[in-house]
Amino acid sequence: MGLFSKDHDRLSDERLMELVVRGDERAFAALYDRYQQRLLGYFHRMLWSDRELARDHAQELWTKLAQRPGSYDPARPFRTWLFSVANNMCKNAYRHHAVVQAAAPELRSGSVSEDARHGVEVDRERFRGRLDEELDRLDPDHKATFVMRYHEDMSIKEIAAAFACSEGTVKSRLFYTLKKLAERLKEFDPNALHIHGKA
Amino acid sequence: MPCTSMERPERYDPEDIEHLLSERPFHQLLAEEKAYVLRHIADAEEYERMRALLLHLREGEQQHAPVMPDPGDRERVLAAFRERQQPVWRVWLNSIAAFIAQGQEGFAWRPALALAGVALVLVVGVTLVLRTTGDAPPQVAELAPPKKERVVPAVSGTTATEVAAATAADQQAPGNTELATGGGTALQEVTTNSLEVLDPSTTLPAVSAVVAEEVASDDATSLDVIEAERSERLAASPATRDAQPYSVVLEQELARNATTGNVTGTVSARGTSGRGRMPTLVEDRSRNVADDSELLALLRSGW
Repeated sequence: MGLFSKDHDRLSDERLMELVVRGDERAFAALYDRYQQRLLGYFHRMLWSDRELARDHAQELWTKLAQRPGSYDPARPFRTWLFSVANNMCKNAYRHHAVVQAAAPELRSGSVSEDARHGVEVDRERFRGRLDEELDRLDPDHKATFVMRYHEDMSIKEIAAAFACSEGTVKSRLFYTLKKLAERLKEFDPNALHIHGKA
Repeated sequence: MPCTSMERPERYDPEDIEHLLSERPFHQLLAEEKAYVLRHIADAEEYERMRALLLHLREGEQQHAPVMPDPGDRERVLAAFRERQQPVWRVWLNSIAAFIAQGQEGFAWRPALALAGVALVLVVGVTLVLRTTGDAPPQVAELAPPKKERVVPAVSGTTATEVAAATAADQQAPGNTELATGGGTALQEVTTNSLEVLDPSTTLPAVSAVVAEEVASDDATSLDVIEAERSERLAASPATRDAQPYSVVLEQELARNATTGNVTGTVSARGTSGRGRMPTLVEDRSRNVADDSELLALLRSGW
């Protein structure tokens, strides 16, 4: 059993998905273990730092994959495909959130600031809170590109594949998003942030 | 025309600026790098802000506490996966209903319909198997046609079983003549010593003479006359008076019978004046081997 588990851990994502399509539960478990944490982080970052919402979305995505593994396109890298699906789910969440917020704007406030208040490093948490707010103000595609690049550490090529766009478009999005965020967050001392980050 | 580095319009793209932001502060950039950066960024201050933000994002992400999944999430997802991996027979059952009710996959009666179909197939299959193997269920009653009882005074000896039986009996008592008369059936069977009347002309020369006489007399004696005589004899016989009357074995019955020795027969050339010499067995109703001592003597001598 352990030997098989090690074998599954060594397999590529795409090979594991082939096994998943054939009904291999261990391959599915290996993929889950490999990407669950990152998906949770992605959803958490994309969905207003709401942990429960992030868990719900991650669970929904894995359940969809379990029920319809054939929906995976073998021609695409699994990681790219997975995050493109997650991104589409986030877009749907944005639309839903926009409707809810239009109906009751006061519902927006709680979830974002709640996580930020529990930090030990207040400045850092304040900065994170502001950063999340500014990210939320971005265009969804720009935000997703930014999160994939700087939080999920995906390459330009992978992001381009996830969005089905050119690498130049991704680079452009990243640059102008970074520039915009730096402008909006200039109230925070960059040097202090940098030093704080290094500490 | 060779071009200098400063003349290259796009040596760096925004991702390269990101690389520069990550690697070096503004004052450490080369002159050409500064020139390129300043085409996309307003001044050194903005460059430093972007650099600080970028570094903070990368370092902060490493220090950021990850969102931990709920321990039950994994089991729930794997359970969903197991549920989808249903056995092949269930897939097959669902496919039956899906085929019948196309486009209505969400109906709850699909499994029931599939099971009903399988039950029908099973019933038909079992029925077919029982029929082919002959293990049909026992019938309540059987209506069989009544056996036609007939007494044929015959010289048994031609069928294999009768010959064997007669031979065995004869070894114990040579020349045994057994007359069996059943109470209600009037079965009379005369067993002679393996008498074979397959071909009278070759196997029984003595009989052939008798046959010749019979043939000669047949010309003057019709079947009706023979039948009348026999009826009279049967009526006059005290042994058969009370018994059930003989059934008359006609020529057609003899034709159906594969054996020719079951009756005391003579071969007559019926219709000798007609279509040739087709020998036909004609029942000799007037002479019984058991009763005819002369014929028995002939048979013994021939044997």
